[in-house]
Amino acid sequence: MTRIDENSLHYLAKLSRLELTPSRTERFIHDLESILGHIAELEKIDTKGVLPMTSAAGTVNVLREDDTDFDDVMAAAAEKNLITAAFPESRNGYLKVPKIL
Amino acid sequence: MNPGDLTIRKFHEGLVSREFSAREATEGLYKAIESKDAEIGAYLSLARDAALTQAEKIDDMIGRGEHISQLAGVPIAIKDNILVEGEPCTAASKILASYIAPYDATVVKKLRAEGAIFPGKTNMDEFGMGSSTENSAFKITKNPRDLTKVPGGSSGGSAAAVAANMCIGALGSDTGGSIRLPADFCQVVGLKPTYGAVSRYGLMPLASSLDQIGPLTKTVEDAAILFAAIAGRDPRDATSAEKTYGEELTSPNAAHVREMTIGLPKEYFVGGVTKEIGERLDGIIAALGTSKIRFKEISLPNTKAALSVYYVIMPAEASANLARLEGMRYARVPEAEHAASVMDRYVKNRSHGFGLEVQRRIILGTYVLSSGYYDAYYTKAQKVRTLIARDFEEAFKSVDAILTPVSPTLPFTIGEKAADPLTMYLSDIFTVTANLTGLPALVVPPGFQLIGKPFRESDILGIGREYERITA
Repeated sequence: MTRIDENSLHYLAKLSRLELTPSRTERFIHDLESILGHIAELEKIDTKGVLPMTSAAGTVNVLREDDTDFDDVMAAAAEKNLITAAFPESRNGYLKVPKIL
Repeated sequence: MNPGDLTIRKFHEGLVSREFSAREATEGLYKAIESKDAEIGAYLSLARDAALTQAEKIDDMIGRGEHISQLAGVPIAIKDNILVEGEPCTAASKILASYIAPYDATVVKKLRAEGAIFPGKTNMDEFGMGSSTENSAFKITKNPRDLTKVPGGSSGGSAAAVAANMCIGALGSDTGGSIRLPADFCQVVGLKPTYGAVSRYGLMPLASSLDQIGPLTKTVEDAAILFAAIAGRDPRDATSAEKTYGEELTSPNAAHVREMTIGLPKEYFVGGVTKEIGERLDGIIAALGTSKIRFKEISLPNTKAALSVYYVIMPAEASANLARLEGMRYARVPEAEHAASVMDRYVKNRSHGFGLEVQRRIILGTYVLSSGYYDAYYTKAQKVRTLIARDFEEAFKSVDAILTPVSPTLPFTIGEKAADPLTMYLSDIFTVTANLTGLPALVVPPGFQLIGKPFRESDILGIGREYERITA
C-alpha cells in the first residue's frame, strides 16, 4: 500500500501552486492513499514489450498551411485583440503581471 | 407552444409550415424555462436577447421565402465549458466566475451557421470533474425524472435541460462518460463521437487525449442530425480527423443494420451491475433480438483495469491543462486581486478558485507525473491502455458493435456518494473504455451503450434507431 506523508503532500501542493488547509491536507492524504490503492492493480498486469498509447488520434505531424493570406492575418489579429481584451489586467494589449524582478 | 416538447424534425416542419414563428417558439421556450428551472437548475446562464435576435433573423428569412436549414431556430443548450461568444463561460468553477467567452467554439460556429439558437449555458461538474453535477461551484442540478436524484455528470445540466423539455437538444463533453452517464440517468440519448470526429477548438480541456464534444437529444435521429452538423476536420484542432460522413449517418440503411452482429462482453455482465440494471439489459437484448440482429459473446479481458488507467491518465492531463488558470490571462478571483508576487497570485487564485474535487485531481495528477513516479504510474497506465485498445480491435474483427451497460446502478440520491471520491469514480466503470480507445459510443434509453468501430457512428446510430422502432 502506498503511503503519503504530510511532507510529500505539501511538496505536491507546492508543485500544483495550491495552498492547503490542515484539514484538507489530512483529507487529501486519505483520498490519495485510497485512490492509489485501487490503481495499484495495474502493477500486476504484464506490459513487457507493450508500447505506451499516447493518444487515440490516428493523426501524425499535423502542420498548418504556411499561409500569409492578408484576410487570414487580419482575422488572426482581430481574434488576438478579443483574447487580450479578456485579460483581467492589460496595458496596450500586453498582459500586466505583478513585479517579477 | 414550447419547442422543447418537439424533436428537430417536428420543430422544422412546424416552422416551415408556419404553425409558429421562431420568435414565438423562443418566447415559449423561455416561459418553460422560467416555470421549471428554479426547481431543476439545469441552466447557469440564459441568453434571452441574443436568442430572440437570432429567432427574428430566422423569421425574416422565412418571410422572404429563403431556404432555411433543418437546425434553423432550433434551441440548443450548451454546456458551460464550450465557448459561445459574448456569453459567460465558467466551467461551473469559481475561478472563471467572471469570464466572458471572447469567441465561438468551432461547434458553436457551425451550429450558428445553420441558424441554431443558443438559449443558455448548462450546469456541470466543475471542469467536467464528477459523475453527478454536484461538483458545480454554483448549484446542484436535479434529475427531472426524480428530483431527489442526481442527473449524472458531468454534463448533467445539458441532460436535464433535454429531459425537462427546456431545449430541443444540447451539447455536452465526454472525457470518461460525461455525456453518456447523464443521458442514462435522465433517460435521453447521448453520443460520444470517435476521438477526432468533432473539433474541440473552444472547449475548455479536461484531459486532451480523451475529451470529445457530442450531442444529447430526445431521439437517436436528433443525435445523428446534431452530430452531422458539428463533425468534421478543423484546422484549429490538430487532433480533428480528415473524415467526411455520408448520408447513412442521418438516413441509416435498416436492412444493413439488421444484418449486424452485436458483441456482448462477458466481463461486463457478470456481477458488475445491480439486479435492476441486469434485468433491464435482458429486456433490451430480448427486444433487439426480435429483429434479425445477431448476438455474440466476446471477451475484453483488460477492460477490468480501465478505471485505474483512466484515473491515472485523466488527472495527469487535467493537472497540466489547468496550469493555465493562474489569474492573469483568463479570469481572477477577488482573493487574488492583491498579490505581492507572481507566485502569490498563482497560489491565491488557484487555492480560492478551484473546488475540492478539482484540487484533489490536480494533486493526484501532479503525483503520477512527478519525478520517480512517472514511469510507475503514467507510462504504465499508457501501456495498459494499449492492451485495452487491442482487446477492442480483436473483438471488432467479428462484431459490428458492442453492447454494454452504461452505469452499474440506477441514478443515486443527491449527497449519497459525495463523501467518498472512489465510490463516485466507480460510476464511470463502463464508459471510460470508449474514451481510452477513442471509439464512438451511443447511449439510448432505457439504458444501454453501443460502442462502435472508429468513425462508424452510423452503425451504432442505426442500431439505436432500430431499437427505437422496435420499442415504439
